[in-house]
Amino acid sequence: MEEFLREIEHLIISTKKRLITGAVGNRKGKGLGSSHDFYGHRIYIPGDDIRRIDWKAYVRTEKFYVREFTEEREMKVNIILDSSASMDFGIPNKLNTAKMITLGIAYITLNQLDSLSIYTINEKIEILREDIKGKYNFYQLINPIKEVKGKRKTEFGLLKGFRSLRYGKTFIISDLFSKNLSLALDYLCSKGQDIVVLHILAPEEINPNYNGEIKLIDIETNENRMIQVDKIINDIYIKKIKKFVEKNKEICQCRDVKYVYSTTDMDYISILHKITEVT
Amino acid sequence: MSLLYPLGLLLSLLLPIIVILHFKKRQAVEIKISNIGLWDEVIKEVQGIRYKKINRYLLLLIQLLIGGLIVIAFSRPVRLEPFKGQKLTIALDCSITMQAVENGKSRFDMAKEEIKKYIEEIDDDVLIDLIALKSNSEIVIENGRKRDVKDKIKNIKCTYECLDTEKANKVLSLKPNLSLVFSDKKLPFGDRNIKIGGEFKNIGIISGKYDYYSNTALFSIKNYDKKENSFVVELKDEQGRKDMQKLEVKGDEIANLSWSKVWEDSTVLCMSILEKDMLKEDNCFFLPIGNQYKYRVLMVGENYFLKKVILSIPYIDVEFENDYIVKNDYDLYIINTKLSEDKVPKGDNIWFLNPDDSILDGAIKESGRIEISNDSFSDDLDLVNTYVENIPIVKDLEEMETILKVSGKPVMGFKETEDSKKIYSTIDFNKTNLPLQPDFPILIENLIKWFLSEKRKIYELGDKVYVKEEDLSLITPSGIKEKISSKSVALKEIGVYKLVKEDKVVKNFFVNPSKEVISDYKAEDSKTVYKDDCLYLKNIKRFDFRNIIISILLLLLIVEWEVYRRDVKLR
Repeated sequence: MEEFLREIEHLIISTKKRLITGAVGNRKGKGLGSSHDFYGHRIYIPGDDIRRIDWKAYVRTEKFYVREFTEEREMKVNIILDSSASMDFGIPNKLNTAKMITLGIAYITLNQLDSLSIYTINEKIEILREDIKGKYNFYQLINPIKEVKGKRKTEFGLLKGFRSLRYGKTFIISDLFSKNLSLALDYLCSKGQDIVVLHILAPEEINPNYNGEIKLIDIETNENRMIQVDKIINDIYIKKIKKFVEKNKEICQCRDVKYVYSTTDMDYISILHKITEVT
Repeated sequence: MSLLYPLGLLLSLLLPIIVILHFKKRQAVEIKISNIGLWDEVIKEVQGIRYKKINRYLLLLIQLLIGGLIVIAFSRPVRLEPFKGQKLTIALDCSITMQAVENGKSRFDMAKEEIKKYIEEIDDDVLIDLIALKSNSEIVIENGRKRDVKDKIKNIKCTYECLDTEKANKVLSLKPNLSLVFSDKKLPFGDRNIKIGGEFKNIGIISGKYDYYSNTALFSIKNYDKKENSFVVELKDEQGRKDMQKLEVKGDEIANLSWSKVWEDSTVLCMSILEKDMLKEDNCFFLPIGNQYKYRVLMVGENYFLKKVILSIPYIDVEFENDYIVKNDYDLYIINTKLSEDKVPKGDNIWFLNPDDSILDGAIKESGRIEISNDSFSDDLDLVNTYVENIPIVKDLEEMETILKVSGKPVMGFKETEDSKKIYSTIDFNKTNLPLQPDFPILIENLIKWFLSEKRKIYELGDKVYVKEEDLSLITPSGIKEKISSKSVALKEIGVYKLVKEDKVVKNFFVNPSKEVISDYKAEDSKTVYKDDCLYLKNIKRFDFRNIIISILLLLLIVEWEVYRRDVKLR
């Protein structure tokens, strides 16, 4: 873990959006404040802090001008971790990979003094931790994240009514085997969230390579299908899964949502690099 | 329609296995997946592009049909038609292997019974030729009737001879009729080869010899069986001394066995296989090794060097005389005196060391190197530094071939006729360095071996011995005393023949089994079993459905493969 954290120490999660809420922090806010970034002058209005009067400007113009600076706010980072049964699949396991990526994003967030909230989603949304700040609080996150188990189905539709989500940057880590992704993204975008979707799949899902007569059982729904698989069937499936990935990418891109695709056989550092590159 | 092998139907008991395997195969392997949705899409697409779903039981039906046809093919269904021809040739194998005993009955007797059964069924007006197959196959009956065959076949006896297939084929080909061959072997001739008996489970001694130099008896034993066999062999001499060894020989292989340091004073060795097998005739082998059985050589005249060499050869018994006296029964005469060729008996092996002037053609005065010019005598010979001087030349006669020459001229030559061998040499061993060379004894032994190569001490079945004297009788190994009426007597039994004159044994002839009782025999041959049951024998003409069934089977296999390939694979 220590080595993992050392490797991602230098990574930064940023946002291109101006922050309008939140406590004072290191990020550029939408309003004016007391940062060191000079914004401009304006005519003095009675009631203004006289310490802000620009006396050099008064000497040149014999008028009182007040100096204004930009506001600095902290960024709120939300991680929505898909904890459905379908995530507990594959070698390497998708849920384990997702948990490690969650820990990685959490560490980078806390390291850059931003606020972090972590939620899990399946048939309900659970708040794992909310508004955590400070690098030293990272270690209290490890156990709760590790204890997350994959169960039930994913219902992205639940995000529509979810009001606890903080305004800022939201990471959705999921295999996207759910029907209401576009609905959820529409809602989050309308709330001004800067969204990154990490689409994670196992190698067996991309290239199943089954053969012969098999009974396929859905681990989420326990539905089953009897199928005689041969090379042709495998090829059709591969086409379908590629199409599925492309479709999800398109859903994200048309909403200006960053889409990152990864398989579980990639190492965690590379996945985190890909995520930070798009932010 | 009849079934040639009704027991083949028992294979149908295995058909339920096809059904079990079919349904077991249909039991799918369970695999957990993360999402069924994509697979649903795949299934939907496949159903659109594939052929109409084939009934899941169609494949099982085809497989059962294939299984059923295999069972029928094994049962060999045939349509039989009684023989309606006019002429028929029946060939009976009378070779030694037919003496093999199975279930207390010899194969020869079994074959006779089968022939009788067969001829019972054919029409009375059919003309039958009966041929006895052996080393010299012969026609026993020509254009005979059923009754003749029944009468004559009783008198045909099985021989101890090996079958000469070439000669047998020639005799059989003289009769263009439909031919039935009754044999225990797979023979390459005849319209129908009817196999008598089962596998040939036999161990036989196929050769034996005695090395006088190392006092070792050597034997080769063949296991005709497919399986490895272990057995005990016994070496016995005429005084009743015995020694035993246990041997293990793999199936269809020959083992070589050596018995070193055998009793020095033995005169006859007999090796026998103690285990009982199908053919007892090749379980015993005689090796006459005593002085009385050695090759007899008479040397006339003095020759110091030659005498020394001849005395050192252990397998010959030499007698020395100063003058030539007419004596018979020597295997070789070495004559070192001036003797005219017409004074010696014809039909003997003679080495003239001092040939008559009529054979000579001048002389070489100067010294010259001795060179060998005939490959038959050059085994292990070098003759690099051997010289001779002042030597007469042997005449270069048309019937004479050169053995040794000096300065390109022959000094030793040989002449060979049907019943005699002669060597003429002019080398005086006192005027050459040849006796001082290591090549000298080798050359002499090579010459003696050439003389004796046709002289037999051990006979094989079918060999003939020539008897010059009259009033002799022969006691066969089975103890029958026969008066010898002709000059030659064929040896037809394995064992010791005794030549008797006035109740006194004059000579013994040792008859051993032939090299192999079945030449080119392989254990697999015994597997090629043609039908030997009455159903087949009664009916020479038949229509075998096996080939048709096999063709249908192949066709069905193709259909099965196509059905399997096109099967919707989705249920």
